[in-house]
Amino acid sequence: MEQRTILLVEDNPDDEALTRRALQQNKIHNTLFVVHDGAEALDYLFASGAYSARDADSMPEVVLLDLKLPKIDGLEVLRRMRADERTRLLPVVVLTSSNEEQDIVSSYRLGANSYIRKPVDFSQFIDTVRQLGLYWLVLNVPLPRQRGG
Amino acid sequence: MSPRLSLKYRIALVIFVLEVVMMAAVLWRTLSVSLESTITQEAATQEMLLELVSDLGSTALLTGEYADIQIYLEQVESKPTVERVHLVDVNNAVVASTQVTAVGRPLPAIEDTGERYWRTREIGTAAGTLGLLAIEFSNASLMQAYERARNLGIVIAAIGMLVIGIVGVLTGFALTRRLDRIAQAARRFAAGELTVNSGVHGGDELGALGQTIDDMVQQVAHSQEHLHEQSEQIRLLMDSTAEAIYGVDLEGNCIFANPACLRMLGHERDTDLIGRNMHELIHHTRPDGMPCPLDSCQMMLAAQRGESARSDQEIHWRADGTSFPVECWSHPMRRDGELIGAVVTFIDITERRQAEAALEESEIKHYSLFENANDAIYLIDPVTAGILDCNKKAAELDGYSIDELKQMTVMELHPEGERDALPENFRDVLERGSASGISGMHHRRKDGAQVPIEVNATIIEVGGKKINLSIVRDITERRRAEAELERHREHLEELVEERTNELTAVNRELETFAYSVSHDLRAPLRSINGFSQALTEDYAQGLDAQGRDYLARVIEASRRMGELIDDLLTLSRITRSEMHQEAVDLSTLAGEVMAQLREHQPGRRVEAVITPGMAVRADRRLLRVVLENLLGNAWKFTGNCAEARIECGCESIDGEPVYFVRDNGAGFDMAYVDKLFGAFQRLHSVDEFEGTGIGLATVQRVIHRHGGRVWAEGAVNQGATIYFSLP
Repeated sequence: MEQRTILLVEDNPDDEALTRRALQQNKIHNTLFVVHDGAEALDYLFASGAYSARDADSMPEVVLLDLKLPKIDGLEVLRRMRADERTRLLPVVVLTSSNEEQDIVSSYRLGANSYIRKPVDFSQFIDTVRQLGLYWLVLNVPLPRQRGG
Repeated sequence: MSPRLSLKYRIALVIFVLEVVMMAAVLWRTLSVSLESTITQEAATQEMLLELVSDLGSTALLTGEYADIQIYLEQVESKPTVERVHLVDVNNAVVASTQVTAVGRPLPAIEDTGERYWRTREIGTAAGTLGLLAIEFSNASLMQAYERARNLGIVIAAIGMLVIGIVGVLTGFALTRRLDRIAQAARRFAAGELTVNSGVHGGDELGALGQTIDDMVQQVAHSQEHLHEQSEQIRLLMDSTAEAIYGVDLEGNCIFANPACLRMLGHERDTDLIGRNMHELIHHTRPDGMPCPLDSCQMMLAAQRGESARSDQEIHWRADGTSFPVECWSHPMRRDGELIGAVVTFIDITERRQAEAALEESEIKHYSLFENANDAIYLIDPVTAGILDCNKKAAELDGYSIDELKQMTVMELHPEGERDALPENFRDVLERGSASGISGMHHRRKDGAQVPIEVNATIIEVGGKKINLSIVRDITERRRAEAELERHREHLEELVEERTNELTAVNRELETFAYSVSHDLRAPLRSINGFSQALTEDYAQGLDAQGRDYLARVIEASRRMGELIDDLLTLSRITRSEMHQEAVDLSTLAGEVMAQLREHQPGRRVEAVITPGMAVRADRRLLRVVLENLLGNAWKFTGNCAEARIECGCESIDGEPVYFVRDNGAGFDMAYVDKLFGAFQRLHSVDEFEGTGIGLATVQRVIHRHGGRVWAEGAVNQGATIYFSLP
C-alpha cells in the first residue's frame, strides 16, 4: 500500500509528539509531515517559500489542522485552502483544544471535513486518532490525482 | 261561690219555706175552724142534752120516781162526751146519778178540771125550783179527734212539703243548669281563658244571655289580641330602639325603663331603676362637678309644668360612678288629659363630643397649617380675583404685608405679560373645581423681582360661597435643581456609555480568557497526561510499583483538571450565550438524554419513568444541558442501587407547573441543601461518585436565566428530587 502523507499543522511540540505517538499506537505508519505555523502550512501545500522545491502535485492524504497557530491561524489556513482549486477538496480534520462553538461552526462553514477536540486524556485521544485513521486513511477513497499518477 | 248559697239552693229554700208557712197557716186555720165548729156543735148538743135531761128530770122530780131517770142517765153517760150526770133535788141531795155512790148524798163539789167541765141547769117550774141538773162533760175525745186530725194534717203537710222541696230543688237545678254553664263560662273567662264558649243558646232569656256572653268573650279576646299586639309592638320598639327611654311620675320616680336605658346607665334590671328618683340617681351632678339639685333641673321642671324640653348640655351618671354626655328630651305624659309624669329619652353623645372636639382640633390644625404652611396660600374671590386672605408665606413671597395683599387682586401680583391669561385660568378652575401643577407663571414682588411659581388651585365652599384656594410655591430652587439635574443627566449618559464600553471590553476580555483557557490551559494538561501515559506504557519496567502509582495519580489528576476546565467553560458559556426561547417537549428531550446515558453505560439496569407531554417554553440547548446534568446526576447517584429508578415529571404547586427529576439513589443531607447549587460544591467524595461539582450550579444558572426557580429535596440514602419551574 502506498504510503500516504499526513500533514500535521501543529505549533506545540508536545502535541506533535503525542499525535505522532497516537498514530504509532494505532499502527498508522503513514509519513507524518509536520509544519509549525499557518504560513508554513500554506507554503507546504502550495509549494511556495521554503517549500518551492516540493512537488506541488503531491498532496497529503489528509491535513490535521490545529486552529491556534502562530502567524496565520488555522481557520485562515482552511479558508485559503478552500479558496484554492488545488486544495479545495483536500480532507481537512480540524484537531484542536477549542470546544468553542464559534470555532466548530466556523470550521465546518469553511469546509472542514471533521472537527476533533483534543482530549486531555491521552487514551481517549488514541481512540479518536484510531477512528480518524480508519476513516480517512483506510475507508475513505482518495480523490484521483489531478496530474500524473 | 259555695254550693250552699248557689241560686238553685236558694230558690229551693225559698219555695220550701213559703210552702211550710203556707201549709202551717192552712193547717192551723183548717184545724181551728174545725175545732170551733165542733165545739159550737158540741155546745149545742150539750144544750140540747141538758134541755132533754132537764125535761125528764123535772118529771122525775115532780113525781119522785127516779128509776127511769136513773136508766136514762146511764144512757146519757154512755155518750162519749158525758162523764158524769147528777140530778139534785131541791134539798141538794142527789137523787139520780151516774155515780151510784153519790145517790142520796149531797151534791159533790162540781169543779172543772182540765178537759172536764160542768154544766148545770136549774130545773123548775113556774112554781119554783125543783132541783138541779149537773152534767160533767169531757172534751177528751173531742180533743183526741182533733189531735188525730191535726197529726194527720201535719203528716200530709210534711209529705207534701218533701215533695214540693224535691220538686223545688229539681226545678232549681233545671233552671240553673244553663245558668251554671253561663256562670262557668264567665268564671273561666274571668280566669283569663279567652276561647270560652258557654254553649247556651236558644230563644229564651238564658239563651240570649249565653249568646251575649259568647259574643262578649269573642270581642274581649279580639280586643285583647289587638292590645297584646300593640303592647308587643311597643315592647319591641322600646327594646330595640337605640335611644334610652324611661318614664317618671310627677315626683320624678321611675316607672319604666327600656333596655337601652339600662345598658347606658350600667344597670342590669329595670327593677334597679323603677321606684327610684331618676334625677337623684343619674342627674345629680353637673359636668363641672357642682351638685344639680332637683328643683333646678330644667328637664324635670318642664316635665312638671307639662312642657317638652330638650338639652344636650347634660351628663348622666352610670351605676359605676362614671358619667357620659347626653342629649335628652323630656315629654309630658298625660292620662285622660291629666298630667301624670314624663317620658324622658336620651342618647349617649360621647362620640359626637369627640367628633366635635376632633373637628375643633382639626380646625385649629388647619388654621395653623394655613398660617404656618411652607407654601404661600391665598383665598381668592374666584370671580373678581380679589385676595380675601393669605398667609405669612404669601407675604414673604410677594414682599407685601398681609394687609396690603388683602387690598390687591391676583392680577397685580403677576407681571403684565401673564395677566391676559389669568381670567381664563380662573374660569377654568371654577368650572373644573381644581387645577394642579400650573407652572410657567411668575409673581412680581413688591421690589420688582420676578419669582417663578407653581400653582395648585382648588375651589372650596365656605358658608355656601365658592372660594378659590390657591397654593403658590416658589420654584426658583426647583428650577435651579432641575437645571443641575439636567446637567447631571447629560453627564450620566456619558457615564453610562463609558461603563458600557468598559463592560463590553471586560466581556470581550472574558471571552478571550475563556478561549485561551480552552486552548492554552488544556495543552499542557494534555502533555502531562499524554507523556505520563507514554511513561507508564514504555518505561513501566523502569519504575517500581510506587512510581507507577505516582504516574497513575498524575494521569488521573490531569484528566480531572481537564474536566474541571470543560465544566467551567460550559458554565461560562451558559452565562454568556444568547437565549432562543421556543416550545420544547421536555418529555422527548428527557427521553433522548436517558437514551444517551443508557448507551454510555449499557450494563446498568435503571427504571426510567418520564411523564409524557410536558411542553415548556425554553432555550432547547440550555434545557438539554439542564436535563443532562439532572438526569446525569440521577444516573450517577443511583449507581450503587440494586433497583435504580429515575423519574422525570411535573406537578402543580400553588397553581404553577413544577418539573422535577427524582431518583432513589444516594440522596443528600438536607442540612447541606444550600451548598448544593454552589460551583465546585460537592456533597460526596470523588471516590464515591465522580464529578466536578459544577453541574447543579450550571442547572441553576440556566433556570435562573429562564426566570424560574430551582430547589432540591432529599435525604441520605433515600434519593433526591430536584425541582425547577419555567415561567
